[in-house]
Amino acid sequence: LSALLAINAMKFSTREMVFSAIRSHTGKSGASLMAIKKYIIEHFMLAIDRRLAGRIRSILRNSVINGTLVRVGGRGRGACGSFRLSRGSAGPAGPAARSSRPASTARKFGPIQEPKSSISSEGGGRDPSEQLPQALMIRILSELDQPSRMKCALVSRAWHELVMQPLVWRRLHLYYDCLGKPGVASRLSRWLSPTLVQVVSDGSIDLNIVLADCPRLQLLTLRSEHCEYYAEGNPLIAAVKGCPRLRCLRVLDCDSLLTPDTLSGLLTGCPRLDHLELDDERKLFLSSTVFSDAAACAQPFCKLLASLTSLRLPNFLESSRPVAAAVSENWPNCTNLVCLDVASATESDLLAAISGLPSLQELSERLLAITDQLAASGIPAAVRRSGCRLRSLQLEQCSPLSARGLRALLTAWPGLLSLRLRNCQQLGAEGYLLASGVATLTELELTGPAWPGLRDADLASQPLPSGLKKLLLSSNGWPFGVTGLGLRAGLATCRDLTHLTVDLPCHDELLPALLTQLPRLRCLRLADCSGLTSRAWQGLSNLRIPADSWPDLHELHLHQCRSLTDEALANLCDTPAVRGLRHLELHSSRLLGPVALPMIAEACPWLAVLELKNCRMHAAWLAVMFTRDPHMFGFHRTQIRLSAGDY
Amino acid sequence: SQLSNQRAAMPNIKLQSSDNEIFEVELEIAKQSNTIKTMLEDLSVSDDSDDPVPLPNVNAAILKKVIAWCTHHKDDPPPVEEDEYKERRTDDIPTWDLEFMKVDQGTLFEIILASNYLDIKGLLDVACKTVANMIKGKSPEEIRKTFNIKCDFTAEELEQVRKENEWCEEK
Repeated sequence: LSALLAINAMKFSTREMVFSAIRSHTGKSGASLMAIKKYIIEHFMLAIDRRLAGRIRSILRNSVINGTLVRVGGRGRGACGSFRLSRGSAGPAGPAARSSRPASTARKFGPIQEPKSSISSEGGGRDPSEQLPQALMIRILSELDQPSRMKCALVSRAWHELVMQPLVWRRLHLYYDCLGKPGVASRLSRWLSPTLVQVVSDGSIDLNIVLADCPRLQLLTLRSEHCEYYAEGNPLIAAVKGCPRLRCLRVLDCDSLLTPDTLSGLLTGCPRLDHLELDDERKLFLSSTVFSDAAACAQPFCKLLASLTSLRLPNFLESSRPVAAAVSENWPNCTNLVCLDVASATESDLLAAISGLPSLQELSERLLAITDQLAASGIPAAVRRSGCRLRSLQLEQCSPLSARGLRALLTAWPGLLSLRLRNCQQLGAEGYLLASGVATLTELELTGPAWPGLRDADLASQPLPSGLKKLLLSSNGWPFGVTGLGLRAGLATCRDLTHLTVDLPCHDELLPALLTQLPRLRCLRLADCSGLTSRAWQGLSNLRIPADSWPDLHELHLHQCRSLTDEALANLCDTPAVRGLRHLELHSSRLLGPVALPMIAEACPWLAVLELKNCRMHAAWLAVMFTRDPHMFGFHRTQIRLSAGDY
Repeated sequence: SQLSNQRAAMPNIKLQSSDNEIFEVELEIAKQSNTIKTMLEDLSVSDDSDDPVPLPNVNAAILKKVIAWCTHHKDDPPPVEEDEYKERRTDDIPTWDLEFMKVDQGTLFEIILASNYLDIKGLLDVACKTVANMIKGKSPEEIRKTFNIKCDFTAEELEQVRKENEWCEEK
């Protein structure tokens, strides 16, 4: 860092730097804009921010016009192409002749520039609270996250008054222990309870005071790693009395709140409740507290289920046997249940659910070992009994299921819109092709197994569903020879795809193909770019796509992207596809030089997060880490996350 | 073919701005404004009517912007119902819209007012999110600077507001 500061103390004009860069390029081909920027970064240790980049470009442009520079081959316009000095022109004095210049003429600029707002306020900022009616200001303030909202309260009296409007706070997040100070809970209950629609609580005493009278509350999430904070006054007891419009209740990691009393209370106090989620993400309190009094809980719980349309119990039934048995018997009463996410313990639990739930459309099943036998006979028979038609099926860790069983499931439920098969180890190539051949799918996830026997040609010969919007493919080891190139043909008709995540070894021709074939792509994650060569990146600059047909990528993740050099990054940055990026992640791109950051800053003006993982650390980048100031590379409001194996 | 006949019969509509400029717009584009749509239905404008629809609350410069937005978004799928279970996001604005909203603050606020008056949900949504993004993550002083606001709090008042609001910070 001290070296950086020392060099920075000697100031050179942009013109001096540009010409010394061009002079250093002795080859016939001249120096490109990229090469010039790289030279400036390496030799003057400057970050190329937007201002400097603009100056370099205008110097190149003007110097060609006034004849001091020549564009090699006459190709390109503006600052494009390569440049060399024209005959007889020496350009301005370079650093060598620098000492003869009086110090006072040195232009002053360093790598740290004033941040420029992404939205120009040069025309003079205007107070929106004076320009917009209160209702619209409330709408804008309610778009904000809670800490930002509170910053607004400190802006001025007018803003404070706006922020204090209860309508701004219809969605409230109560952080852990935030009601700890005396009086806060009762203040909130007077101020916000009448208008609250959604409350998320991380655990705090006196929550029951806030919930005691919330006539409009529809969504309540209680989660806590500190169950004891709910101990004084179970907030659910308050909710069943004070929240008559509650529709969605999520109780995460604090299931001790579910007592026979609260369960029967929900039934009478919250008649609109239709979504219930009981999850225990940390799996600590499982069965120890949930329904410990199973005999007393089972009946009110079953009654409650009968009025639901959506139930998530991803960790729970298997551990609470007496309740699970009662629930299984009770399914025929749950005529409205559309969405069920469970971990059944036994085959008969699953069959009871399928045969008892006529409205079922979305089924997620975890852990249960569905055998081919069950899939081929038990499940189709159960489907016939209830007549349920699934739109969405998710199976996790269904290890005995093979392609034969999957075929039976897909026959029992034709017309699936969403299919997720996670870690179903026995599916093999045939299972892969069956799943990816369901023509009605809009969402497909095939993750986990090695897909033995799968060939690139299979990927190519099987067109993926043309209405697909989200596709996630992964394997714990793709069969040898699968290069991902086949996916290009497979995706040929998927014009609507917005999310693509694959860990197939990415082929050189796949990357350009994805950008040309998928006009609606928003999020692209290629988890294995280790096979990409410079050809892939050059291929990007030769793409012929009309300017308005490029995908509007918001997220790009490239892992194991070892071939990404500065030149390659320049190719990538030249494509319009990256202009709208909000999140860029480059992994193991160890060839990137210091120029990478300013190049990205210039190409991606809307970037919010930049992750460079396991890349080489450069002195200039380290400065970003020390100063935590992304502006020095021309970023505006980008969060930069750097990590490296070496410094 | 019936549809194409209708189109041929009633392709355009004239809109008149507050400063009396007339814009001819495809009917389908103009109908993204619920206000215009309702107006046309209520008035049951006859096919050959040539009278411009007066929009007394929108000037020509802003109307031009609004029409440009509606033209770009004419083939958008109809807005989906917000999933209430999800967090609200302001970082999912299409890039074209981000660039479109790179205007001075006066224009931005006028676009908000116009899209509110014309009842164009998508445009109002994007414009409000744009203002929210100008606020997000900034300190009170930065917010004041952005919008050229003078702080009229006394130091004691500021301290009091800060104390009052401690509850909503994450610890």
